[in-house]
Parts: sequence; structure tokens; C-alpha cells
Amino acid sequence: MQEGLQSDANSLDVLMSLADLYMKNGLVDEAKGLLKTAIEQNKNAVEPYSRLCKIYLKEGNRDKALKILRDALKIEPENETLNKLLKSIEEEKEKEYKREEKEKSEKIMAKETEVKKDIPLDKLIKDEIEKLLKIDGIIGIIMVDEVGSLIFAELNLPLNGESTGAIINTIYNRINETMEDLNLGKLNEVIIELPGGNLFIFGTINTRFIALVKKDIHISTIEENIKEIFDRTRVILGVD
Amino acid sequence: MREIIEDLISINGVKGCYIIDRDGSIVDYKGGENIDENLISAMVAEISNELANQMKIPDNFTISAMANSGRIFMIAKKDFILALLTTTEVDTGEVRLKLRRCSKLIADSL
Repeated sequence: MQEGLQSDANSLDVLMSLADLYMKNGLVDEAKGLLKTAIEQNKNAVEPYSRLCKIYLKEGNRDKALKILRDALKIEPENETLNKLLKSIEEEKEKEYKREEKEKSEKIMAKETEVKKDIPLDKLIKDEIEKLLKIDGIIGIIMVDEVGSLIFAELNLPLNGESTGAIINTIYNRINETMEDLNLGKLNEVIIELPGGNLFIFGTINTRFIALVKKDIHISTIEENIKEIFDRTRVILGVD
Repeated sequence: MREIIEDLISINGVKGCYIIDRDGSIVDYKGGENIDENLISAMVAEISNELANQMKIPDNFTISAMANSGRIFMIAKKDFILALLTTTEVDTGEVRLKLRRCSKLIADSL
């Protein structure tokens, strides 16, 4: 029957129905073969491409699904359904990539922490802070808890770490309160640009990590470096 | 002053724009119906007082606060504070630049 159908140039609908039937009965390879035949016989029809793409997606073969979808879009570039499908596959791919990258970096951090488990906690934190203080422009680091009590301070300028940490913590908590009242979620970062320099504050539920930076250093250049060390310190301390 | 507010609110992602005096009273604003402008003005006033009293920095500071679902930017001048409430998708660089320019324009007009 299949041969008879394949020889008929107008049999697209029948081929597709048969492919659906094969799929329902778990004959995936047969369904794929039939859809490939349908593609060969009907060069301008996008339906068999679309169905073949969905089969590849079910099989978890996203690369093949993307290839077949892009072939279909060469025939109908404006096809809304195909474009939506392409967008959703690409978004899923991007999400998976980010998830994998996050898992990878967390594994590395966890491994590093595991290796260093015999080293005292304050030494580990001090090592991280020292890395940060070596970066040009960073002149001090203060770490306080959520009520403003000093955890750590290393300052290359005549400033009282304890009182400065407490004041900055008050400001951070006040902004956090407003953010929550406005339903904007949890506060993660505050940058305060002052006439004499800038303050970068990264917060968790129970810690505030404050970096004091010279005025002439470009914010975006240094922000990532501080965030990275903050994340590492957070892992070492085991805080959220 | 109204033109400046309109200019700032036209930035993609800006949901509210507020001009607040040093006591925390709102001079002028434009923002969404669901945003309580008094929450923002009260916070702005408290923070500027904290910086002025505790750190001896009465003005010329900028604060950018980033939360999970929104951001607040503010710039403090001698007589007023200009604040913006935005989404997380906003172009931070553009906002900060315009905030500086607009605060200067307001200061010049006062």
C-alpha cells in the first residue's frame, strides 16, 4: 500500500495520515521514512517538515529538528507556526545552555570549596578579599550581617569599617523594604556613587558585601569582578 | 519640569518618574496607577538624610538599586532628588546618563 501511495504525486495528505498512524502505533522509523518521502515528492509543502521536526524533538534530537525546521523556513520564511516553533526550540536551547553553564560553575565552586575544607573559614574569605583588593581601583571591602554587625573589613583608607558597614547596611535594608513593598522582589545589588568614590553592595538574606571603589574606575568594568568574588565568598560561607 | 518628566518616562522600561524635595514631599511625578509614589518618596528622603547625617554627604550622589523584578535609580541634588522606577530590562547606561542630564536641567531651572 505504501508503494502505491508514494507513487501518487497527490498523496501528501494520505502520506501524512499514514505517518500519523505509524506514530500512534510506535513505528517511529517508518513514520520518519514516510515523511522524508513526502518531503522529496512535495518540495513546496512545509507540513511534512513540521511533523518530522516534531518527531525529532520527541526523540530529543534538537539539532536535527532545528535543521529540518530551517529547511522548511526556506520554503515559507514568513510561516508563523514554523517561526514560533523555531523560536521556542531556540529559547529552550538557550535555557539549557545557561542551566548547564550554571551547573558547571557551581560544581567547580563546590569542588574548590571541598578541596579547601581543611583551611579555616576566615583564611578562605581573606584569600578571596585579597584577590579583589589586588584589582586596580578597589580600596576596601566590608562585610556585615543583616543587622549591620561586622563580619570582615579590609580597608586601604582611614575609615571605620564597623560604623561604615552599619550605615550602609541601614541604607540597603531601607531600599530592600521599599522594593518589597512595591512588589519588586528581593534586592540584590546597590551602587552608590558618591563625590569621593563608589560603593558596590551585594546582598543576600543575611549578609552585605560592600566594595569601596575609586571614583575614576568605570562601573561596569569592575562590577563583574566584585560580583564574582561575592559569589565565591557566599559559597564559602554557605549563605543564600 | 513637566517636559523633563515626560522625557524620562519615555525611556523604554521606565515605569515612574518622581521629583522629590529634600523633606520627602513630591514636587511632581508621573507613574503607573499601581505604584504608590509615597513609598518611593519616603525611602528617598530617609536615605538622603542617612547619607547627609551619618556620612556627611548631603547631595551629589547617585543610587542604583537592582531587585529581582525592578530597579530604582535616584540622583540627589542640593534642593531635590530625581528618582526613577524601572523594569529590569531597562538600559542602565541610558537611564543613568539621562538622569544626570535631567537633574542638571532641573537644578538650572530652579
